[in-house]
Amino acid sequence: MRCHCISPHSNCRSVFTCSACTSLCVVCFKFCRPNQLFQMSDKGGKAGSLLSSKGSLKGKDDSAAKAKARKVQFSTEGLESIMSNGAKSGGKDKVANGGKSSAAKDPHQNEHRVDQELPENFKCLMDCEAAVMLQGIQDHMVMLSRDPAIKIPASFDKGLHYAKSSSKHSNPESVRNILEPLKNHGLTESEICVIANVYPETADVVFALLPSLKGKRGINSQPIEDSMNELAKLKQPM
Amino acid sequence: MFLKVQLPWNVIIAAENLKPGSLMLQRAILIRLLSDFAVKKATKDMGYFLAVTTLDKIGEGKVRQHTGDVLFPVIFNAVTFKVFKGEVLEGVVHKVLKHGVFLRIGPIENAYLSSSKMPGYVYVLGENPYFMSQKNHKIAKDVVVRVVVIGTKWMEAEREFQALVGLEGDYLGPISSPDM
Repeated sequence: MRCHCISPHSNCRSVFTCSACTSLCVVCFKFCRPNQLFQMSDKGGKAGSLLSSKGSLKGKDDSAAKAKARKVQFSTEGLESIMSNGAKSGGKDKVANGGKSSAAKDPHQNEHRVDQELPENFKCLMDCEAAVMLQGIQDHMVMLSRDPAIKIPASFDKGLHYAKSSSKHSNPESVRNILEPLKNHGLTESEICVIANVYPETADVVFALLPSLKGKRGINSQPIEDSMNELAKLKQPM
Repeated sequence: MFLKVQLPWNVIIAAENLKPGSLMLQRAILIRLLSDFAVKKATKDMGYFLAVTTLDKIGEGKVRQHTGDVLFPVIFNAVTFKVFKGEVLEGVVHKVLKHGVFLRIGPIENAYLSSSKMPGYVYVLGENPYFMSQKNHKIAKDVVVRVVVIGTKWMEAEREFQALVGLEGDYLGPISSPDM
């Protein structure tokens, strides 16, 4: 691993990644040129540090940083466009004030861009899958809480409660098996997760809630209907 | 929605925790990682940090000059929660006001559903106020409502998200609990 500072230090021979806030290279103790959206002052590496060795991103970010002044250095390019979009809309003092800003009249008009916002090392989880994972940790909580040094995040309880209450399937694997083939019909991972979380009864509900699919309706309505039928079977055990 | 993320972090171990014996060292690294993770609470990019699931790799430690600490690069998997624009979610109403309601969606305490985004609903004043639609659908405290996220806002100072949600669209609104 080479030093991933945007301007590699000439005498930085060692191989280490800067801490993600890129404030200080821990090897050569020189300040990197900041090129990231987050100026996190606290220590600890963050996802901003480059996971994959995308040395080419360095040069691109350099000019982009000057142009946009706010970027996140992730390994996928798609994130950059979303983040710059976020930076722009941040300037417009956006939606928390009432949602009448650009193109927010009908939120469904905005294409569902969840998956475009996620870099490669992020994976969408269905609520039922998350519930299983978090419950597993909860089961060990008694043992974990005996050690005062172990800290659990404050949001853990709320996340667990939400996952359990919104999880409508008892068997995440079977749901995953039913919905996974839809990827071959043009659905993205995030769309599949939204479908699983909502647990629609018919394909009409799917198309109503995911307008990004409407453009492809003629092509893949049948597989979706088939999947919905199979999901409905899960509701009533045979 | 919930996300599973793989993250590289740098964990700094103070010199006094560096005892001989790799097990104690691994424990110290893990404890420190969990502590940093818990303190972090949330980031704009990954959402709310919920739990560390696995620790994939602990890299070679580098000694920091002048302080004597050792910095270990670690790679771990974690579960986080983040809402996205356009996502369909279910929230629980916890406050009803004249111009809208506040919902709780997982770790997000304040997802605001404005009355202007509740077509067909009118405010009904009372000791326990609520919103009622023409079809007698009620949005009151502790009711689960399926909403679409119109926008999100990251509050750096409080390290939390706020969301603006709406009911404009088909199949959105209060949902009744299914019969089991």
